[in-house]
Amino acid sequence: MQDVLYYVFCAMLVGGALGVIIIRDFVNSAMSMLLSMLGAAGLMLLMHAYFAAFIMVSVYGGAVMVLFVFVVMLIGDKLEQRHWGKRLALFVVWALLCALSGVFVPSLLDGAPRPMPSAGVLANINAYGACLLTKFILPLQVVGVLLLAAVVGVVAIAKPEARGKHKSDML
Amino acid sequence: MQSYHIFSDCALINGAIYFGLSVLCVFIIMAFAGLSVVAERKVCAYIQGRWGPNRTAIAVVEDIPFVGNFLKKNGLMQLAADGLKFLLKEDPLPKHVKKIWYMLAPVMALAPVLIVAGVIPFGVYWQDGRAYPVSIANIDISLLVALAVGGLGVYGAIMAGWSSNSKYPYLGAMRAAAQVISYELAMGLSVLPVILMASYNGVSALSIFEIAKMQSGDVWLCMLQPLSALIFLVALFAETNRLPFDMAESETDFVSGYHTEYGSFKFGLFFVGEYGHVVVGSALFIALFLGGWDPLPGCDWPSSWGIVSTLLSVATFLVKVAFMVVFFIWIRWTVPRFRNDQVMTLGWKCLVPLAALNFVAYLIYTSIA
Repeated sequence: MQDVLYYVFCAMLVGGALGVIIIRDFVNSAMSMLLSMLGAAGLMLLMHAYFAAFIMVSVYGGAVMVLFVFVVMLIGDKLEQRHWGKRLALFVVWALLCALSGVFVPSLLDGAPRPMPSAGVLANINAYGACLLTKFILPLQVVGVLLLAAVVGVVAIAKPEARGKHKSDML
Repeated sequence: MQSYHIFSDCALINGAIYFGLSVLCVFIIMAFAGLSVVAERKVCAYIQGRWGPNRTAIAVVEDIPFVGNFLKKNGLMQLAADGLKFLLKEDPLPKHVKKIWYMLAPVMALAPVLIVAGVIPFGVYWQDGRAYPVSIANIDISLLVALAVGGLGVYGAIMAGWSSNSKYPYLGAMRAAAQVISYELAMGLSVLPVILMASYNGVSALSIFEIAKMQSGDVWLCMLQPLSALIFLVALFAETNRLPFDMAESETDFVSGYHTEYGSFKFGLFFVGEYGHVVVGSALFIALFLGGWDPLPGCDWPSSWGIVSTLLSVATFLVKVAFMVVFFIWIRWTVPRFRNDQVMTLGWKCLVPLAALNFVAYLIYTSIA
C-alpha cells in the first residue's frame, strides 16, 4: 500500500514539475505546479513529516492560487511565443541542471534502491517554534529578505503596464 | 503519536472497518448537506411568511399514516425529487469548455470538504482513563489539516470559472480567488490566540480535539475569545461562499457565477459541496469555539457513563451542527449581499488588522498575567 502511494505521489510530483516547464498554456502550467506541491506533501506524509506536509498544502496551495490570479490577470490565455533564443536558453538550462544533479547527487546515477529517508518526528509545535527562532534564526531572516525582494520585484514588473494611463482608464 | 484506534490485530480487518467508518462519515455529511437544502427552503419560506415546499409526495409513501404526511409537509420528499432531478437530467458538455478542468472542477469543490470531515471530532469516548475523539483520524495537527485542505475547496470555483471559457464564470472565479486569499488570512490569524491558549494549557495545540476537550466542563472559548470567534465566523461565511459573501456566485451581477455553464449532476456536486462546506465549517466552529460536544458551558457528559456518554456527546454535537446550519441560513435570508469592494474593505481593512491586534493583545495579556 505504502509503495503504491509512494509511486502515485512521485508521479504527481515529477509529472507536475515537468508540466510546469513543458506545458505551454500558462494556466495549465500553474495547475501542474499545484499537482506537484500536493505530490510533495504526500511524500512528506509518507515520511511521517505531517506538520511540514500540511504547511506545504496550506502555504503553497494558497501561493499557487495567487500565482493563478497573477497569470490570468497579467498574461491571460495567450500562448508563449516561440523564439530560437528561448530554445537555446532552455537547452543551456537543461544541460546545466543535468550537470548540477550529477555533481551534487552522484549516487543518483548508479540507480541502486535506497530506503525511504525519515524526516525525524517532531516532538511538538512549541519545540518547532523555539528551534525556528533560535537555531535557524539566520535562514529565517534571509528567507524573509528574499521574499521582500520578490514582492518588490513583482510590483516592479506589474507596474509599468498601468503607468502613464489616466486613473479612470483603469478598472 | 497514535493516530488511529486499532480495532483488530489483522491489518485488513482494521482497514475494512476504517473504510466503513469513512463511508459512514461521508453519509452523515451528505445527509446533513441534503437536509440543509430542505432547511434552507423551509427557513427562508418562514422568514418570508410562506410555507415552502409542502406538496411534493411519492405516491406510496404519502399513504403511510402520520409519517407520509410528516414527510410531505416538511418538504422531505422534495429533497428526493431535487436529488433525482440532478441525477436524471441530461448532462450537457458545452463545446467551448476546457474539458479536463471542466470535469475536474465539481470534484475539486466537494472532495476537500469530505477530507476535512475526517478530522472533525464528532464526540468523545474513553478508554483506559484517556479521552479519544470520535473521528476517522485522530491526528495532532488536525486544525492545520482542516485549514489547509479546506482552503483547497476554492480551486473548484477557480477551475470551473477558468475552464468554462466564458465571461461571467471567469469573473466569478476571480472574485472567489480574491475573497479566499483575503479571508483565509483573517481566519488563520483569528485562531492564533486559541492555539496559544491551548499550548499554555500544555495540550497539543493544533489538535481540534484537544482544543474542544479543553473547553469540556469549562467556559467555552467564544466567551474567552469573543473577537476571535466573531472574526472566525465572518471568515467562515466568506470561505463557504454564503450570502452575504457569495461574490463568486452573485446571481444579480453574474447570472450564476462560476457554475453558470454547469448543469445536472455537475451542478449538483457544486451545490452539495457548498452545503457540505457549511456543515463541516459549522462543525469546526463548534469544536473550536462552542464547546464541542458539551451541552452547556461548564457542564459535560461524565466519563463514568461510558458508552451512553459517548452517544450523548455525538448527539449533542450533531444537534449543535444543525443549529449552526440554521444560523447560516438565517443570516443568508436576513443580511443583503455586500458589494465586491465592501467585501475587500471588510477583509483587509477591518478583519485582518483586528485579528492581528487581537493576537498581539492576547500576547501582551499573557506575558503580563
